[in-house]
Amino acid sequence: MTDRADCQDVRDLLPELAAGVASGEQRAVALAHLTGCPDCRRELQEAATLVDELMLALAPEHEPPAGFESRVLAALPVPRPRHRRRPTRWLAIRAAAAVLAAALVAVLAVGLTWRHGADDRQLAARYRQTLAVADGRYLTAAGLAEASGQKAGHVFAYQGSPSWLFVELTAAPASGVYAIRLVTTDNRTVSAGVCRVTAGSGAYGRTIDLAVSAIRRVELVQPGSPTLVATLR
Amino acid sequence: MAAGDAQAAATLVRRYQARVYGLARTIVGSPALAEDVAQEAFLKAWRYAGAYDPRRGRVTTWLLTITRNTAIDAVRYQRELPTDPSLLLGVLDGRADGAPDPSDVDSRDDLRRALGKLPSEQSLPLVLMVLYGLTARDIAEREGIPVGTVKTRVRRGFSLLRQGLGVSDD
Repeated sequence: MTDRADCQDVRDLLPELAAGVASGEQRAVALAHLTGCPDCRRELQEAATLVDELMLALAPEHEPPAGFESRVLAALPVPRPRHRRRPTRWLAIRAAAAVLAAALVAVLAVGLTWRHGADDRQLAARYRQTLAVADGRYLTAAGLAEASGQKAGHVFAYQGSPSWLFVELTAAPASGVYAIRLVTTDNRTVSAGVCRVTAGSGAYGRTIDLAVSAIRRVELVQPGSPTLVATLR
Repeated sequence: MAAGDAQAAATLVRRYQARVYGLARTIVGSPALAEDVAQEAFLKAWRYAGAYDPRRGRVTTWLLTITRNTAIDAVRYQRELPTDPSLLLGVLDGRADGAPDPSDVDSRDDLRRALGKLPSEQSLPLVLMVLYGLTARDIAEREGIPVGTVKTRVRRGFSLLRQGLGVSDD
């Protein structure tokens, strides 16, 4: 087959295309033809419908063994309905954070400078400057990771007037658009926009109406890829 | 979010587990492996739920395609198919297995009957391709016939099934 498939070439492939077993190369060749050929597209659609029907017709329903449903539900990454109760130690942590704020900022700035290049030196400088000029109270940070523990980046939260949130992704598991959700200490979920990720990297920053102390964790969600979580508490 | 997700997951599993497990069992044979495959299929479906495009088909067929591919992966390196497609074809006498959606029963029965009426040289490669995920080349090697012949037979089978469904029972 050549790169320029004709109707006959593509119809020859239709069953394999419809059954989803065609190779990548075959699919590419067919796709190039299908985009300009409504007749072949219709043929493929009909063949795909037939494949769907055949799968339904050939596979009898069969009840799985007892306990299957609960085993599947236990394995799904769905948060347990049980409410997690933790003693609120936030006030003490916040007091400590206030005391440590200056040191933390310095450590973060140095850390950023050391870890990343010129871009992040600039970023760290901006944070220092922001704290200084806008009456910033503190800057906190948390690692952003998948449930497996695989690290993906960092979240920086700045308590000031206004407060800011900054997300830096350096090793995201997928490209695309991540929705950013803030889960508050009273378990509300607040949408906070999106972060675009290309080749594992992306950055996001915006002001937030919430006090940083009211944010329990930051979640980055993209369907089809692991959710990334940074726990601020 | 959490409560809604948990509820949606329970509904998904409860509603489709017999279909998913049934297909997994049809392909992999072993009940224990079928259970693993069915569980993995639900996990994948849940993970990729955002990629589900309602315009492209029903949830059932989307879920069954995931199940089929998971089942095929699970038995990919076995030399022999774990279940015998000929036996599967041998029972296609129009009996409805299980209790599918009432509105679909007639057309499924028609399809089973139409498949049962095809000569096995057409129905077997078709089932190998659709249910067991074999390519025309795989089937040619397995059956010891030229690839071109396999393609012709499968296309002929597709065409006859569509005609058979189009004109209902003859």
